Parts: sequence; C-alpha cells; structure tokens
Amino acid sequence: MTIAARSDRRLATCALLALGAMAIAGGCSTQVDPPQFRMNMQDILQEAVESHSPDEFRVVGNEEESDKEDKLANIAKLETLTTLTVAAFGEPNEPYLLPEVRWNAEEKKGLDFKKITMAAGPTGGDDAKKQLGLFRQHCVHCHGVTGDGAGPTAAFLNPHPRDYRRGTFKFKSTGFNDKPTTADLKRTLIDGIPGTAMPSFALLPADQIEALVEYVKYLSIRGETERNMAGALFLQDEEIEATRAGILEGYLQPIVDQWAAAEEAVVRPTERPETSTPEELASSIEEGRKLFFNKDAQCTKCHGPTGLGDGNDGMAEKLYDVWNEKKTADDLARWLLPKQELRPRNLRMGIYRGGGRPLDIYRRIHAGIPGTPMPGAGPQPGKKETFTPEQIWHLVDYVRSLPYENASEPAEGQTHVAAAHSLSN
Amino acid sequence: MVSLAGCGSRAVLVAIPEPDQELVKAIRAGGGEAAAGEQATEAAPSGEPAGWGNLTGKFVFEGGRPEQQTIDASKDPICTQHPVLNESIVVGDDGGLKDVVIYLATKKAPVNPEYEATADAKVVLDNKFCRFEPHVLAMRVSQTLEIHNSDPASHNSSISPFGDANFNPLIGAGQQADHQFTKSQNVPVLVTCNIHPWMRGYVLPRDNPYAAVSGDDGSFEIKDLPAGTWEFQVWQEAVGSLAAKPEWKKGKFKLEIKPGDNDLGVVQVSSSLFKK
Repeated sequence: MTIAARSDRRLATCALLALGAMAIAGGCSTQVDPPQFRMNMQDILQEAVESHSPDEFRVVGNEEESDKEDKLANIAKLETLTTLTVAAFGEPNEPYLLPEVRWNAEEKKGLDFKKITMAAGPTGGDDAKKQLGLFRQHCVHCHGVTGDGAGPTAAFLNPHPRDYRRGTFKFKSTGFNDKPTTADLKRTLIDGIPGTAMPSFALLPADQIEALVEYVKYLSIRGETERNMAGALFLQDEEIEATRAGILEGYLQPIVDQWAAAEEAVVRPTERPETSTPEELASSIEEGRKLFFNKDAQCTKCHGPTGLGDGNDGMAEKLYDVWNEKKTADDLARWLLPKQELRPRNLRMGIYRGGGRPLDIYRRIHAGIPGTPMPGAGPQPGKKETFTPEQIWHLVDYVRSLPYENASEPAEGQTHVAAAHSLSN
Repeated sequence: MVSLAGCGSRAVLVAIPEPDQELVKAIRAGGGEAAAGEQATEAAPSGEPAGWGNLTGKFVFEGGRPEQQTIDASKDPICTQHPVLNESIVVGDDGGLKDVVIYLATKKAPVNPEYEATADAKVVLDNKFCRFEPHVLAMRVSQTLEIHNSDPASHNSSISPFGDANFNPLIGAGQQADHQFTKSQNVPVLVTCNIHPWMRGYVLPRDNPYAAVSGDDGSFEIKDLPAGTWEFQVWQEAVGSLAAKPEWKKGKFKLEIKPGDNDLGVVQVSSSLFKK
C-alpha cells in the first residue's frame, strides 16, 4: 500500500482548498462527498501512541515483519474506533444517538435528538420553513465539522476556537472537573466571549440557540467518547466490545451522566462581604490587594505585579493550555493548527472572557479554569480550600478595581516588581 | 476503501479505514460482536504462579556525565534559596542513571498477596524547594496520591492524564491535596506547576504494583514478581520509551522471571539515545 504518500499530498491539498475556499466559494459544502467527522489523530498520536509519528499507521512494505504486524494492529484499531463512533453518533449529515442516551425527561438525562437534527446537516430549511443545518451556518467556519476547533478560519485566530472533543470547557458555573450546564453554554452563545473571535448569537431565536447548544454537547460527547475509546484501544491495549453495551457502559454513558450531573454542580458562593458603601468597597478592595500579592495566592506569577498578564514574561518556560501543551516542534508542520502560547489574562483591560459579573470572576478563582494553568483556590474533592469564600470575594473586588487603578505610579523609590516582591515577603 | 477527499474528511495525516457498515447496523440494532479489535490479548494465567521472584538491575549512563543545567528560578524569591536544576537526565557520581522507570507491561499478571497491605496506601509527592520530590514516582491506581507543599508559598499541581479526571488545585504553604487516579496509564503522566513553570514531575499510575524507579545510583528492584515470562517497559523522561538495547523495541523487552532473585545486570544507556 502506498497510502502514506498519497495521504500527505491529499492533506496538503485539503489545507489549500480550505484556505482558498474561504475566499472563493462557500467552503467545504461544495464537496460532492458528504462530510465526515474527522478522527482525533492528534490526540491518538500525541498521547496514545506516544511516538508522535503517523508512520505507526502506514505500512510501506519494507519494514520488518513484527513492525508490520504492529502497524496492521494499529490500523485495525482505527477501524474499530471509526466503526464504534459511527455506530453511536452517525455522520455529520446523518447524526445518530443510541436510544439509551436520548433525552429522558424522568431522569433529566441525555440529549434531545430533535434539537440535534435541527442543528446538524447541510444548511437549509424544511417544508415548514424551519431553519436547519444551524451548526454549519453559524459555527463550522471556526469550530469545524467535527467540533475540533480546526475550521478553515481557525489558523488565523488567537486563541484558536475551542476543540470540544476533550469535554473540557473553560467558562462555566460548575466545579473544576464538572461539565458546563446548559445555561452556561447558552450564555456563551448569547454573550459571545469578549476578547476572542467568539461573537454573540443573541439575535438568533431561542429555539435555534437551544438546538446549537444541544449540538455542541453532542459533538463534545462524541469527541470525548472517541478519545476515551482511543485511549482504551491504544493506551491501555484493551478490547472494546462492539455492542451497544460495550460502547455505553465503559465510555458513552459515564460522559452523558457527567453532563446531567453538571446541572446540580453549580458553584453558589456565600459569605459575600458587605460592599454597598464606598468605604466598605474600598476596604474589601484593599483586602483583595493584599491577597493578590500574597505568597499564598501567587496571582502575580502569571498576571504580573501590575495585573498586565506579564508575570511569566521572560521565562524560558512558556505557558500553554492542554490543547497545545503536548504539541512538539516536530509536530508543527503536521497539525492543522500550530502550537499556541497562552497569555495570562491582562486584568487591566476590563475584558473578562468568562463574563464580568462578580459572580463570574468568583467562579474563575474558586474552581480555576479547566484546561489552563489557572488553578482553583476553593475547595475541591481531595483538597481543602486555599481561600475562604470571603477572601475570594475580596480578590474579586480587587480584580474588578484593577482597570481603574493607576498602574503608572510605582511606590516611592521602587519598581513595581520590587514593590510586589517586598509585599510578598 | 479509503476516503480522503475533501475538508470534512475523517483523515488527518493518516488514512482512516472506513467503518464496517454491517457492524454499525448490528450495534444499533442491539447486536454486534463480542469483542472488537485485532490486538492479541494474553490470557490471564490460571492459578498460582510457580513462585515469586525479584528483579534487580542498574542503569548506567555511557558517554560522559551530562551537566544538569541550572534553571533561572528568580521569578519567585522563595525559589532562590536552593539551586533549581534541570532533572530530565540525572546521572550520579558512579554513572548511574536516575529516574528510569521500569514496569510490567503485561496485563493481568498475578499479584503477590504481600502487596495487599499497601493497596490503598498514600503516596506522597512533595513540592519542595520549587521542585517535585520525588521527581518521578510510580504508584498503583488504588493508592492515593498526596500532593504536599513544604515550601513557604503556594504551588499549583496540574495533572491531565489521558481519559482520566484532570486536577489543578492551588496548594498553599503546608497544605495538601489528595488525588485518586481511576485509570492505569502506560506512560508516566506529567505534573506541572504553572506558577513555577520549570517544575516538572512524573507520576505513573498502574493497575499492578510491579513498577520501579531507578535511584541515585541507577539501580532498581521490583519485588515479588510472579514466575513466568513477562514483558517489561522502560521509560526515561528525556527520551520516552528507552531502547537501551537494540532488541528493546520501543523500550520493551521480554524476560523470564524465575523464583528467587533475577538480575538484569548493568544496562548501559548510550548518550547517543538522548541526542535528537
């Protein structure tokens, strides 16, 4: 077989097509073949196979017999993975859900298949002039058909669009390891994500927003199920029973359960200090400022002594999120999206990706931001709180005051860095 | 059939086989096949093994002792009291290569009952002097990872194991965070502190207790292995799978464990393996 060479050339053609199509035609929908979900080869190669080399999946003919066997076994695993994933989720034009994971009103669990079919498939309308194919109309350019965050425009964006397939979402009301709630995703769609390319879809009718949210969940659950099954096949060298029960029990059902559990896992903070008068607010901000520079909080190590997000600048080791950290220099030419460094948030801009309400910032500090270096300071399973709710509220008040604080007047005779260090000692 | 056409294609870099449509239909209809995948599985040996054996050995670095680079840790004043060194290759005075992980790759090997007592033990990973102590550790999934912080300031310890829950708590001075893995991993999982981004540690959670990390002198011991022929995996941070010998493909080798003591002897690790 000479799949190897052909595959690379086709890939290059595809990348060019994707770029060209943006300017000229309507993108991938002009393809004759119906679109397919793209397999998560990035994670399989980076983590599960460990070698980072696509050669593990290519029989070129001149390898030793044992190597050839390994490669054929790997290819067989890919076929298993495709078959199981297609069986459970279908294809972009023909989504499918196993009956066990369709919406169950009694248990308040599962995915609403009606909403998914409204968002899936090619753009158009049905006989009743109801809008269909919403995901491909509004989302696919950035998030891609698969929801892997690698749509045609993705390479031009910083940050790259979210890849849903890890089941990790940064901005949500729940705990660190919980999924977002339906309301969280809805809010992201309606408000957009300030400071990123994610726009607001507030003008869409409510039923379309709901359909899109359900489809994002579907893509995320599909991606995470595929990823975990890939982990079992390649990383654990386990077999997966090719039956409904085999897919459901070990892989799909636990993920669907986590999404259902998220609705009950919303962080609802208490003990908010009184800040209704200017004096009270000033005192809370002052408490927060002390904490911000405190060696227990370590905020300045990333966000910088003046909150500009420059605390890690000049370090040999850059910061990355989980979507980027495993990419190596060798990979750069291989992946559809290059490795992207993560900038800690500049707190003086007054732009908050997860929302600017005090409650939003509280939740960021309490739970941390999954997938990023931002740790959680509140209690987590297995760990007591680092800060009390009251202390977190003080930090919230200080962070919210930062855009209005004068950053250009360092303490007398000191640079800000020195000032911060003296405060933290 | 291989489909590679278009942007909405399954294939990225690798030709992906088409799904088995018959099987897709069967699964949806409630049928399917009892087991998918063509990987050979080794049947669990029945009954008690013929005895238990210990495996010892020593990894020695060949080709001059590489110098550990000092890391600029001046970002945090608490990290400047002790020199912080790059620990990706640590060679002792007598040439011993530290932090090589050697573990049983064969699944479903019998476990010596001696290990039951420590099945739910705590395993400590300490943040101390702005590094992880130990730098590399192996544990069982059934055990609890206790992350301590002996430094006078906060660390965060971020872990994202494949297919398992992520963890990233802020751990104040003197505090601790407990973490329970739920899945065995086949390579050690990276632990990072992002406040001090040079900090790297590795934890290998396994289903069985047969894993060891080489010490300062490069030596290791795995106790009470079941007698029989098993496959072992060797891993080192800077190279990943450590093919110290030509026949150790991808760092794996088979070895017969006899009751009593088994010595792998001195394993020379050539410096050329580390040049990429």
